[in-house]
Amino acid sequence: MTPACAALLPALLAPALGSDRAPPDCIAAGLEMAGRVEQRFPSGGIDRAFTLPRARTGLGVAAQGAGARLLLGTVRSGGDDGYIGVDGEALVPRVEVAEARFQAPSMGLSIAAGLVDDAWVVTGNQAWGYRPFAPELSQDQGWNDRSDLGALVAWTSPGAWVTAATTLTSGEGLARRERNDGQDLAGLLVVRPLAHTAHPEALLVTLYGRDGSRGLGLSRDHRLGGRISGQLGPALGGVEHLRAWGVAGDAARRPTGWSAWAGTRASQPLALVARFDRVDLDPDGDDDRVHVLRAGAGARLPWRASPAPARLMAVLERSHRQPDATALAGATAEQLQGFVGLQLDVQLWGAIEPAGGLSVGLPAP
Amino acid sequence: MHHRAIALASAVLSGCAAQDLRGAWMREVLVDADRSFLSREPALVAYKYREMSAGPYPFLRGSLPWYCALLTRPEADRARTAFLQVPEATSVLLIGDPHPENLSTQRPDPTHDEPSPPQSVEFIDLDAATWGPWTFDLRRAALGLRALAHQAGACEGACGERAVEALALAYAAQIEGRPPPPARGRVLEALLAEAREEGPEQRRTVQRTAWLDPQTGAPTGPDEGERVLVRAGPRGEIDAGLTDLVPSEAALLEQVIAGMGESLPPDLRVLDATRRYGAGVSSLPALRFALLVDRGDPGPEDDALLTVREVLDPPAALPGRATHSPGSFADNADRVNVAADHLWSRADNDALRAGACVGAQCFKSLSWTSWFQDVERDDVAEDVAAVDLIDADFVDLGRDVGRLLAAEHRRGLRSDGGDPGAAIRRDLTAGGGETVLAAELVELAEADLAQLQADHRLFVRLLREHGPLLGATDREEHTP
Repeated sequence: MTPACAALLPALLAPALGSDRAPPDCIAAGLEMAGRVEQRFPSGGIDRAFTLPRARTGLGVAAQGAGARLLLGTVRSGGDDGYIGVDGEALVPRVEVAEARFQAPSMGLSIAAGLVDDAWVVTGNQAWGYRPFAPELSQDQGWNDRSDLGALVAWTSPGAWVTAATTLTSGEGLARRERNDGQDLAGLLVVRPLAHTAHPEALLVTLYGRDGSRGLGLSRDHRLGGRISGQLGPALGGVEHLRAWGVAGDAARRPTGWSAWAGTRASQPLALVARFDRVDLDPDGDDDRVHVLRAGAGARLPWRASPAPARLMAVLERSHRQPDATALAGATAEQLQGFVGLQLDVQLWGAIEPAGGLSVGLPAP
Repeated sequence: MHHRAIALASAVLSGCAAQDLRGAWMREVLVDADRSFLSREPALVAYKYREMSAGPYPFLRGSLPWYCALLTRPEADRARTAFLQVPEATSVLLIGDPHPENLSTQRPDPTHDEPSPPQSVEFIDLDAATWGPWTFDLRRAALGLRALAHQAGACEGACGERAVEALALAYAAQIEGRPPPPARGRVLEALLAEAREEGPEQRRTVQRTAWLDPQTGAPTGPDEGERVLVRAGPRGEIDAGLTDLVPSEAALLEQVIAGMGESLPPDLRVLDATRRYGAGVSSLPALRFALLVDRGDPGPEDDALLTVREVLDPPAALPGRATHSPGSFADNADRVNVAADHLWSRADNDALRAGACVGAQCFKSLSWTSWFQDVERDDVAEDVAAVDLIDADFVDLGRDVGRLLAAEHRRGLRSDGGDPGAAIRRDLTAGGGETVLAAELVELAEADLAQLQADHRLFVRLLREHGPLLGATDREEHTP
């Protein structure tokens, strides 16, 4: 499978990056699944649990520069506490991306419309590389949604030094209908200082800004962020910072967050990764920070396959909340929470290309 | 002078801006909580908001999601609790919204072995029952107590503090198994007396029903007529109490009653059924039916009123669980039934209690006879105005609320199956005991009351500015 065809699925930005060749005509389908058994702490509730941190299926079709992409995620109907769901509280598929797109590689242009990617979230998850373990910072904190209804335009400069993407979206995210006349305008700039070298992805500098609003009251929902990340040989790493003005309709909230990670690339025989997030819930407060440490170690399956479709990992998540960062201020029982778990990830893509016939597996890393 | 004027104007403008931000968030939270109602019967949501605007107490009743959102908002000046150090104490079965108007009298049916069953008064509305930290119920109950007194124009200031202190101390004593506080105060005694007086006469049943000639529809007597519920007005006048069912409601109700099957008396026969509007505040837009039922004896003496009401999810954002304790009941009918089995002093306190679901829509039934009397704020206000209730009675009410709350928590459940009373006792000790609890609760209730009053004023302003649905029009909610 050619990388360009495989890249139909994960993101729109990727295929536009630096290629002046027309994308191949192809049909790509993919499944990503991860199941986890967890032991949670502190004890005192339902401490041992099976979870489904990732269950996603995707279909992408491209022909003569035009394409369409559909990604279905999975959610628990009724949420964690509710009972008004589908057939009980069954897991149900949810559309995460449904976009029409057109690419003009000679001009470095991609346009898309529909339920389109949040450019910051998608590039963040790609940089972090271990989405089945945890989403990147802004998605994890509920500051950004995975996607939103709207349109996206991306342009990559000759030589792929720079990619600029802008989205105009509803601002309500993938799970809520529009509630106001305001639109979110977001911009993302990816700079590749090493684009001319043999390792163009070794250093990426990403800048992000959003002028947004949410809900009936057009509450402000702005973001400003920056990220430095890279992947070189077997290693990956990065650091990012994001500031928010307004969260979930509460315009007065101004949380900020840092996230730093390092590890081996997920395709390596041994997966070792660690991430540290530091979230400041209120810049006016002194004791309202949340620190989250994540660490994982595992091996690809089968061991000799490269790229390997599966991975078995032991994972740890430990969050520590300062006294004013617990849901009820001062509740020390809430301060230290987390889990240890064992997780099996599988990521399989298949594609049909006129030139290459049918291929199944992963694109070359 | 000039500088002071500028500073004052700046402060006013800054305050207005903060109110605008807060108002936008309040609209977001409240409308989001009523989304399912908005897509079904938006007029009832407008009715609910109108009720909520009537005063701080009804606003409190209709705004539990807002209260939860406020509690968890990370603000620098939030008061810290000394408690919630024991993880297991953060996942006990809560009443969820124990404000005084949720207190009601109950009485099991007389039997051969128990011809005069004891009456009780306790928190019987368990629609918000879910896992959570024990202090949540206490804080919400203390705010409800202060708001009720405030609305009635009684027990402000130091008296209010004494009432909350009495609530905390009675709770601690009861949870620790120490000798119970003195006997019930006058508010609850009056409620029980009312039930004793009106119960045997079936006053509510008599008032709400009529005997009609089946041929002519003219009023007649028990010998010739059939008994029906008295409709208050034609369908569509949603302020009215009881109105005719439309066919879809009748079909749904039939399925619900069939589903309740074995939980209801075997010979129970539905004589008449109506839609019931205007009851409650938080659940005002929920589907609610009134039924006149015959319980199996030949004569009309055993006829009874029954309410059947839709039960929705508990508040999703109920704050403060340290442990992983998701909703673990079979459905919403099971949730309120299991909660009643454990939290009520006797599971048979209401012989007509049952639950059933039709798909994801769940319902509960409760007796609606004169044996079951609720605390009502208008009655309390009247009694205060007539000096039948004085400040000291609110202190007694606080003591009663604390005692009842602790008794229900002790009888309840913990999400890991352990003893909730033991976890709460350990947490109470770890936090410094009853004196610390009382001081903390007094301070929190004072702040919560001030917040409630300010938020009520803001809510009234939002209704004025954005219309009866806070700007969430029917069209917006229906357009995909």
